[in-house]
Amino acid sequence: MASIWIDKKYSELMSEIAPREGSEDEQTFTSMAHASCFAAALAYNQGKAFDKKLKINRGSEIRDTVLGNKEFTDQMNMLAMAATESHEILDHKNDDLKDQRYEILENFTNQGLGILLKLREKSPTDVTGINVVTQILHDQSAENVGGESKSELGSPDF
Amino acid sequence: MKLKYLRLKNFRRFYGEQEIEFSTDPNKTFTIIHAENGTGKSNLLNAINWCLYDEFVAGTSDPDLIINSTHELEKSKTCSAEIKLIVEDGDRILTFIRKKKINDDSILKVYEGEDDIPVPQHEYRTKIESLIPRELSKYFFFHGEGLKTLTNDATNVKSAVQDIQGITDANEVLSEITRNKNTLAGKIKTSNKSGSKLEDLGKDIEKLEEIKQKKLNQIKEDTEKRDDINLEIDVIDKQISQSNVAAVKKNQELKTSSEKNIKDKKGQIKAHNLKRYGHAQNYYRDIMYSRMAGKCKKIINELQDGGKFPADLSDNLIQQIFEKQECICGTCIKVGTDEYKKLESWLTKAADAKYTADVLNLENQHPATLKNSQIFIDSTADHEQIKAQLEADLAQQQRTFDDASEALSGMKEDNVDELSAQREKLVKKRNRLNEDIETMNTSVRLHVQNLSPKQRDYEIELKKSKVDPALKNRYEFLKVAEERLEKMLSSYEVTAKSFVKDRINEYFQKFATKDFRVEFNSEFLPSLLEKNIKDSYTKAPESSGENLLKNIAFVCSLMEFSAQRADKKNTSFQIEGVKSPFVIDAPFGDTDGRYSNALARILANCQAEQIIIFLSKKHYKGSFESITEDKKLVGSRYIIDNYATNTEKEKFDSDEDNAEIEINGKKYKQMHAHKKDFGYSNLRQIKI
Repeated sequence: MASIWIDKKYSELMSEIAPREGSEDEQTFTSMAHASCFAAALAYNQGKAFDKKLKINRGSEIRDTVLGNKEFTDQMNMLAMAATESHEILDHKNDDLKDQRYEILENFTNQGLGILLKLREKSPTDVTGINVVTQILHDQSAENVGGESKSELGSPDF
Repeated sequence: MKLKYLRLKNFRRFYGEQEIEFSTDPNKTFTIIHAENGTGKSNLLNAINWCLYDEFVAGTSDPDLIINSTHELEKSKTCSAEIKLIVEDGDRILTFIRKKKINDDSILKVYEGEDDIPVPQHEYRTKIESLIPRELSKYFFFHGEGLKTLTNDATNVKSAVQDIQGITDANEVLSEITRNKNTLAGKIKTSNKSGSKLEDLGKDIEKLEEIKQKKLNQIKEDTEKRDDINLEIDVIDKQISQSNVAAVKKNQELKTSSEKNIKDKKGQIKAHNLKRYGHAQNYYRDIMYSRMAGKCKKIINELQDGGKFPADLSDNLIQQIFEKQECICGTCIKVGTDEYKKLESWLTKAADAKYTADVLNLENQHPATLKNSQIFIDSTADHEQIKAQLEADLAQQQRTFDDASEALSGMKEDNVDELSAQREKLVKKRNRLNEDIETMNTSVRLHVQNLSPKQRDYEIELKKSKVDPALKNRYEFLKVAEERLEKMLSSYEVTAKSFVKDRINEYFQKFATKDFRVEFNSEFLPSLLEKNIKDSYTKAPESSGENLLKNIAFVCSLMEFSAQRADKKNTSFQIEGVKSPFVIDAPFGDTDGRYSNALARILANCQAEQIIIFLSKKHYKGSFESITEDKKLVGSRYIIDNYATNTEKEKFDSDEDNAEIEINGKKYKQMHAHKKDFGYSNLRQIKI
């Protein structure tokens, strides 16, 4: 069964930005799947490509029972097509391609979480990560509509 | 007489030079000075009083402090305070300038006419007395605090009625006649034969006089006791009004309200922050996937532009290519080649509707992502600004809460109940004394009735006796003079009392809050009767508001009586009546809206030629404002701007409601942060 894994080194970050079981605190994303899709897009927008060398020390798992929902497959498909620059990756009858799409999402998610973690470290009081996420969204929105980015977070130091 | 102009130079709280032009317009009789407590209202009243009479109104704190203390520190040995007052009385213009240099007594200069011709010094007193006699000034230049107790004290009322009749001098003459008559009676007694009828009558009269005198002494003693009790009640009233009960209550209210506001603000901040979570969750997909959506669109469009998608996925077209073994672009497609294999896989996909839909779905994502990016920018644009404002509000509320908590922690509520109980005891004691005085007065009247036949018999016997005729004639003359003068003064008193009585009742009928009637006891102390069942009137329990109402009506009627006498020819026994301005400082006390309304209406309808009134915002807004502004009665208006020192400002900041005042729709700041390192007041004219 297809699923993606979050590297253990991002478990804490993930638990801060996405809800843990039984927690009533407000969190930036309503599920780990949403946080994962956000992180993957962040990596893509930061110009990252599929990193073949990336090794994942498996921590949390997000299964395809969640990621198989249309809400997430659209995002996964977009990422896969954009990353491979080919529509063929969308072939749903080919199980290998399906695994590849999950692999792409996993790869970009973990790269994105790495970026997010570095940005979060610059803002230690931002417990839920909302400030960092809002700033990223703001900068990206400005870029999308062709305006100037007003980011005060700066670029992460990779 | 009207006040035209007042200039103050370094007088008490007024630093430097300040001036007021009073309204002399007969249709706009009001000059209003807007000022909050502690900013110098009463000092303006004192400036007028000091200039004319070299004294302050009763109850002024630190009456020796005349020169502004900052000016004194600056100039030390050369400092001085000065008041210039210009008045018009018919065609006459009089200018009074009183100046006090440090370490010297004050000096008055008086000038007459527009050319300021100096008036000889020996005429100063006559000039002032002709405008407003000193004994009447306390009714025309009125300190609001004094209003509370004016008619509680028989001595006050008695002297007020006497003063207003202008018979102070005549009363002194009467006392002199009585003293001479009694001296003569003593001489007659010693020259009389013992055992005669005249001697017996003389002894009887002497005994009766002695009893009468004892009773009068008792009345005097009780009156003094009663007046002392009134003073004690005043002190308790002041203690109650100055007790910290109000402060404790205010701080408790502040604490409760700020606690609620803190909770509300925290809720607002939380809700405001939650909005960001909502925005992040709702918009992240479109914002973050916009670039990918653009990329996907580009890929698909390129395929479409090259005729490869979806056209090259058409079942028929691929079949044709297979048959011709040549692509539409001219490429040779032979069985077994890579191109052939690719086409074979495409042919499979071409028949797959889901795959086509998945690909085409990604073509249409991009416009929505751009639209939502813009929405996100707009909705978060003022987020930080609103958040900062909410946080500043929260910090302010937190400070208020902390201040109130700190104030309360050091505050133990005064025991006002004990003071109230003490006051009640004193009121009961005062009422008992009033009843005793009334009974004693009745007894004296009866005694005088018993004395009269004896005195008549004595006079008949005196005529028959062989006492020196010269003594007899002188005694007879003084007796007649005393009787006539007493009769005359009594008739003046009846006229004055009847005028005051009618006028007060008239005021109450027109303006009071309930159906009241005013009744006067034997000492002419007014009390209120309230309409009861079957149209009867019974004694009303007087609230402080009703007491004030009664007293302002009393003062207005005194003033009107004086003005009426000014128009009439007076007897040689009376000082002429005067028409005077009514200068009144904070007359409303702690009255509520109903009484303020009635008081304002009485003042607006009283027949003073000019009304100069000092009012705080609390007492101006509402009834007074609507009555004077609707009738366009205000001819001149000033604000006392208060420049507070740090300590004073803290005090005023806790009373932010009074920091500015709205007059006729325009807002004026009354309290200002200190510009210099001392507190002072400035007069500012407001255009009518």
